[in-house]
Amino acid sequence: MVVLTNLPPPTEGVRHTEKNTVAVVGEKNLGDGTLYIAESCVAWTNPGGEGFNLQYPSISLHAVSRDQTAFPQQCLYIMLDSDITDKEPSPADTGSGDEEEEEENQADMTEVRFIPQDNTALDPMFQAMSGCQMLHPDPEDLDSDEEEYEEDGCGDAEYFEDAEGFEHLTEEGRATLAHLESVIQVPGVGNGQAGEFSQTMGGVHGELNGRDDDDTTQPTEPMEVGQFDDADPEK
Amino acid sequence: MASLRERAISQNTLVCLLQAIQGHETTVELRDEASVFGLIVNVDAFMNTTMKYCTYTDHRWDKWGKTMQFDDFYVQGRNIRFVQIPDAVNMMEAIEYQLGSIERRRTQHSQERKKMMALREERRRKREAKSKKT
Repeated sequence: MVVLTNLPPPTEGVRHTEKNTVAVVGEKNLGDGTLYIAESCVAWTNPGGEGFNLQYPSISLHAVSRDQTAFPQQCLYIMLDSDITDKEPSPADTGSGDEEEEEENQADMTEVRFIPQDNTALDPMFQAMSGCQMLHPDPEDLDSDEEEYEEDGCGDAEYFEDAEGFEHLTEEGRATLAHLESVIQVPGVGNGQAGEFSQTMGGVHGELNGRDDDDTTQPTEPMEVGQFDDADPEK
Repeated sequence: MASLRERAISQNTLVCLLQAIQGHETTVELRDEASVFGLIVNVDAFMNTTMKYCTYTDHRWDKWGKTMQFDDFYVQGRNIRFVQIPDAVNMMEAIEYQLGSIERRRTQHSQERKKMMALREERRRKREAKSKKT
């Protein structure tokens, strides 16, 4: 039996809300309620405010089922990697009779089905689930990969190549980038950036930028032509 | 769409082979002994796999052979044990093609960035010219 709690539904990062959705956990129909697909979890609450939350890492797979021979209604099918329909096994689980029981529990999984009244909502529900699932990569796997890439330098090698990467930078990273760009002094590109970024640097390179601005009063040149004209201005 | 890190993973691990079979029909075997046959729609850098028109076959002892049909299907990478590479796919060629397409996308991307920077610079010049006048 699933334990229903009075957890309030998520309010932040909700990607999809589906009212009039029946929840079926295992074989048990929990009735009508509202499904929330949020970035942090999947939640369902009934009109009485009782419900349950599913965490993304525990969701092995999710799918859209329209096969009415397997289940009479079209639904969003979710398989969890643990059995939430049973309560905690009693601590007195020793003895010969329990082997059978263990075998029974071997299939540690729970099927959850959400049946929206509106069938056309299934596709957006599936998309929302997929989008959120991607936000929760396997924590174990991630750590090992990250180390590997840092050692190889593969991940970092192209970090500054794209404007896209800028959003991922920390404050410190942005300051470093701004400094690098101001040192490299690519005309046309570097100047503009150094000027903009210096605001986040507390004016450390104020002097440099003052000069940059003067430089740009000169008539504009194509990038390649004047590329090294103002290189090494410090000397 | 894919972040830089995801692209780095795709470029440096064999997940690119799985990405190369996007658009093929094949069988994905899951950690819980189940298997899914269907069309591979997308494989991300974490091997999370999206499929379409799937037949899911349960191979656990108590539900042996039970099948379900799914129109759309998403499974977490860590739940995948095997992905059967279709015989028609030449693995080396597929990997090389996939790496090439990542590279092409990257070049395109950096060209777009250059354009964006040029535009930004132009705007800044205009702004400066304006402030000078006043």
